[in-house]
Amino acid sequence: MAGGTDVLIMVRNKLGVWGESPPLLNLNSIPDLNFIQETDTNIEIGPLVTHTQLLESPIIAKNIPVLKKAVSIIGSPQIRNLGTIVGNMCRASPAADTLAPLYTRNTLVQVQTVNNSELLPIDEFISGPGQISIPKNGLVTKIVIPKLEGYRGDYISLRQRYALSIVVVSIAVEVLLSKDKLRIDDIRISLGAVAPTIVRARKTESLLKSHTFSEDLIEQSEKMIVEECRPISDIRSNKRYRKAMTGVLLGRILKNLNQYIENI
Amino acid sequence: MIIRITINGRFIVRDVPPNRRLLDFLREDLGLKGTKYGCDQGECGACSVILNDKIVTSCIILMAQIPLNSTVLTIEGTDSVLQLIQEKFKEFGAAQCGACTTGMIMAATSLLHLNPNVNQEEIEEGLCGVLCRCTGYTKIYDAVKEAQKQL
Repeated sequence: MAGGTDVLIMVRNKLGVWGESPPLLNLNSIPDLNFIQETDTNIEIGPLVTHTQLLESPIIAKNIPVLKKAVSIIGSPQIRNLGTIVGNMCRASPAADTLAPLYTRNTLVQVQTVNNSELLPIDEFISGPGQISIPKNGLVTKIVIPKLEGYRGDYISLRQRYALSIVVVSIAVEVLLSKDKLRIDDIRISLGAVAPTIVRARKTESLLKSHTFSEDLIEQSEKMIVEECRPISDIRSNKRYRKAMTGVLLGRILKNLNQYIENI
Repeated sequence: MIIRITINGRFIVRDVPPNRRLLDFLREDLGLKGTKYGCDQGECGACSVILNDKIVTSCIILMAQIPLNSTVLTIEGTDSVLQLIQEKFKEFGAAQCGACTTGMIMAATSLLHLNPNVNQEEIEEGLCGVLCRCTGYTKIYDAVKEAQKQL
């Protein structure tokens, strides 16, 4: 346990696997697990790094601005001072704010046991809602986020109110434009709260990839992403609204990007 | 486990169970009942205190998570910004039922410690972790703005 903002509540309320009050390992006694470091190709984040530390980090601001934006709307200052990004990931909520930006980056998760250490892609590490593939004696010792050169991105989330609320629909997008800024060379789109885990909108990505920006293309992609996602109805929203909003949010991000290109 | 902690300027050494929560430690062990027991799950912010210069909800922190030689500021403290904000809350009638007031004052203190020149948006963001169901927030924001002028 690092921040404990979720775990302690689950233990106290006897929820799920936490109901039997399993022993907790206090990671705070291992200060070496608190690091944000930059290598030539990656950004690495340790399991004790809080959301506030990410917001204050020049490395994150420079290399992963989309993640910074997502982190800035988590919970409240109180929660951001305690909660960690690795904890948010291990909680594996389909509505977690930090996860959509991590999925667009094809983030890797280092799982360490006494005898073994392996790097798992985040979409294999998270196997379902609240489920992660980690052995009983395993510990996540860092996440590895590949750098992306020249990409522009954005993160938008819809929620019932601004503070202390949970995502209804969220979207993270990172786009690489061609040198003349007319064509989309690469695009990655992650959606939150529309499936059992965060998902990449692969069909919509391939529709947009290698195409020239146009109003028509944006409209087509909005239609496709609505068809591609498979949300459920729950306490926070319903299926129809969530589907419709994926299109609206993608459209909003692409139109902003189009405007940015026209203004160059 | 033995903890060494400075609370409101007083250095304390105690033997506590590692799973004792900071909120219970403050209220039950030290008798500092100004910190309120609210939702019990880190949502309402009524139990907010300043731990090592950061605002946190004390109901979801175990004593084992707190580093050695940490400092805690609660509503009972004598910090000058804290005192000023309390005066302004009184002056502006920024408290109604009182459940959130401690948390609001602590969040406002933390906010002005970090940045003495906050605008309306930053005040809203800084106080967003404490829920008030009486005042509509307006008087609270006014009190914080007035305190800021006198810093």
